[in-house]
Amino acid sequence: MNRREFLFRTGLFAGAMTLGGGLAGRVARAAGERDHYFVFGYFEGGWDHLLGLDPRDPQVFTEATVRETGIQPGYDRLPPQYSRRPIDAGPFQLGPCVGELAGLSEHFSVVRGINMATLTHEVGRRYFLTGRQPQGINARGSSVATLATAQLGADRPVPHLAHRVETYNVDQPAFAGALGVAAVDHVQYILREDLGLPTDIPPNVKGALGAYWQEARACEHDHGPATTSLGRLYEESRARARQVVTSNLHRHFQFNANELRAVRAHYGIDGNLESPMGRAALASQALKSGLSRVVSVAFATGLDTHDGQWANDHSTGLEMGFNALARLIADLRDSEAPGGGSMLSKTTILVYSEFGRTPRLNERNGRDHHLGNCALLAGAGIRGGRVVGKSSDNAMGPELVDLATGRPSEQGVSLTPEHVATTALRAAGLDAADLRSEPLPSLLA
Amino acid sequence: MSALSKIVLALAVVSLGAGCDDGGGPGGNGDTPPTPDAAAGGAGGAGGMGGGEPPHPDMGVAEQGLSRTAGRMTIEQLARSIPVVTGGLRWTEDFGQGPVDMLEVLAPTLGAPDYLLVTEENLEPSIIVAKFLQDASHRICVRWIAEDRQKPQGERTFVRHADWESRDPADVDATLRALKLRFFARKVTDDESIRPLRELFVNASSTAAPGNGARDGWLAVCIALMTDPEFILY
Repeated sequence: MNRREFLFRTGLFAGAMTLGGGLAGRVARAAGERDHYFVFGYFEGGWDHLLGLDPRDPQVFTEATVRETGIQPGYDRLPPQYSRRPIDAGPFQLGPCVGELAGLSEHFSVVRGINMATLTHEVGRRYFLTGRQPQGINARGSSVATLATAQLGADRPVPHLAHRVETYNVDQPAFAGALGVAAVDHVQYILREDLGLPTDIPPNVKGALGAYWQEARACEHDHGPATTSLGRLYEESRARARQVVTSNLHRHFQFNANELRAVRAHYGIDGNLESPMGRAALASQALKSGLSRVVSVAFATGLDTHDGQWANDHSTGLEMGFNALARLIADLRDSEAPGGGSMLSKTTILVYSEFGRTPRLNERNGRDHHLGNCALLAGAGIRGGRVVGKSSDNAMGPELVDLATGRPSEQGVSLTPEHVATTALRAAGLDAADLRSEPLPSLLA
Repeated sequence: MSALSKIVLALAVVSLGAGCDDGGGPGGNGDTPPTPDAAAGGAGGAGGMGGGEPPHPDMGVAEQGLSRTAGRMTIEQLARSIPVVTGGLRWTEDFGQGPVDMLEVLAPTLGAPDYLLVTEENLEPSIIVAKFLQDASHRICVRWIAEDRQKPQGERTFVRHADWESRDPADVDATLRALKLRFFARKVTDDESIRPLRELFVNASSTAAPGNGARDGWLAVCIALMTDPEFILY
C-alpha cells in the first residue's frame, strides 16, 4: 500500500485536500488561463505629481499665495524646453513633464489624491507592489503582479518577468514568482543555453543527463538540504530553466540584431538598453513574443530629488519615464495580439510611485516626500480619459472620494493603493479578494 | 482521543514520511512544496531592491532531518566554492575583451546585493540561479575534464583514484565516492547513494564516440554534481 492509498483508507486524504483547498483553488483558476497581460510600471524615488499627473495652474497658485495654499508649481524653474503651464491633454490637464503621454489620454485614466500614509520609500513602494499596507517596512502578502500571474496561468515560459522591481510570492504557486533580471540584455542570456556560446557538450551527454534528471530524484537524496522544500523548489527551477532555453525566444531580445531594427527605431534605442526606453522595449517584447504574461519594470529611476537638482534631474527623469510609457502604450496599441485585437486591448497597465513630493519647494529648492500620491491605469478593462479622486487645493492633501462616482465627497473614503490595485485586477476580470478592498467602478470599462 | 484514533494518526505520520514514489523523500511531506518565505523577495533580490525580510537561513524551523533550515549559497560563496571543488577553475568567458568572471557579471541578476539599491541578497533557488548554474557547469566541466585527462594521476582533481580511461565498475565507484565527498563534503559508503550517478556514467560513456567513453561519462557526472541541489544548498 503506498502513501496515497493509505491516506484514502484512513480518510486523511480528504482532510489533506480540504486543508490544501486554497492552493487547489488557485491551481484550478490557473488552469482556466485567460488571454490577458499586465504591465506594472514603477517610477522609482517618489514622483513629483505637480510635474506629472496632478498639475496646478501657476497663475492661480502663485509665489505670492504659497504661504496660503502650500502649493508651488515651480514650472518657471524648469529647463526652458518645458511648458510654464499645465498641458491640455484633452479630458484633463497634466503637468509639463509628461512628454508624449499627453497625446494618449484616451487610453489611460488618472487616480489623484491617494493617501499613502507613509513617507518611507520602502513602505510606499511595497504598499503599491502588494496592494496592502506593509508591516513596518516589510511587505505583506504577495505582489499584485504575482497575484495576477497566478490567475493568468503558467502558459508562458516565464509567466512573470521583473526588471529591477521587487516582487513577492508568499502564498502563490511557484510559477507566479517573478524571474527578476538586473539588466535588459541578461534576458537573452537566460533564454540561451550556455549564453549562446558554442556548446562543447556532446549530444549523448545531454541525452544521458536528460534521462538522469527525469528520474525521480527524491529517491537518490536520502537526507540533507536536497530533501527540503528549498531543495524541491530548486529542482523545479532547474526543470523550468531547461524548458526556457528550448523556447527559442532569445531572438526577440537581441536588441542589437537587424531583426529588431523596428523595435530600436520605435523606442529610440541608441545602444543603451539600461534606459527607460530599453525597459519599455523589454516589456513590450516580453509580452509580444509570448515570453511572459506579466511584466514589472521601472520606467524611471533616481527621482528622489530633495535638493537643487530637482529642477533639472526630476523633470528630465520624469519625462523620460513618461515618454517610455507612452511609446509602450502606442506599441501595444499598434500590435496585433494572438487571437485578434490589439495587444493593448488585452493588456492592463498600472503605473505608480511610492509617494508624491511636497507641493512646496524646500529651502534647498528641492521637494521632499509627500503623503499624497497619484497613479495611472491604462489599457484593457480601463476606461480612458478619466480622473478619479482629487488632491486638495491646500497642500494637496488627499480628499475623500465617493467610490461609485470617483468624485470628491465629504461622505466618501480616502483613496489608497488598495483601491488602485483592486481596480487593476478587476479590470482584467481577475479575483482581487485577497486585497480586501473595492475597485473604482468609474474606471472599469 | 481514542486509542484507535491515536494509532491511525501515528500510522499516518509514519506513512507521510515514508517512501519516495510520489515525490517526497524521508523528511519531505510529499505535497506541493510551499514557496518558502526565503523566496519572498522574488525579484526583490534578483534585480530588485531588497525585498522584505526573508528569514535568515540559519534561523527558523528546521525541516525534519536537519538541525536548521536549509539555505542556498550566496553568489559570493558559490564563486569561492567552485575553484575549491575544481582545483582552481572559475567560470570565465572571453567576449573579445579579455576573460571576465561571469558570476561577477551576472551577480545582480542572480540576486547579489549591490549595496546601492539592493542591500540584502535574495537566496531563492530561482530559475535564474538554476539556469546560470547549469551554464556554469557546462563551461567549467568541459575545461576541467579536458585538463584532468591530460594530467598525471597525482595531479588530478577529478579522476584521482584510477587510470583515467578506466571504465571498470570498481574504479568508477571509487571515483564517484571521491567526487561525492569533493562536491558535497559527504562520505558515502553504501552502494545506493552512487547508483544513479553510476548509471549516468554508463549511459553517457556507452553512447560516446570511440575513444571518448570515459570522457563523456565523467563530463555527464561533473555536470550532474555541479547542478545538484546538494551542491548549492546547505
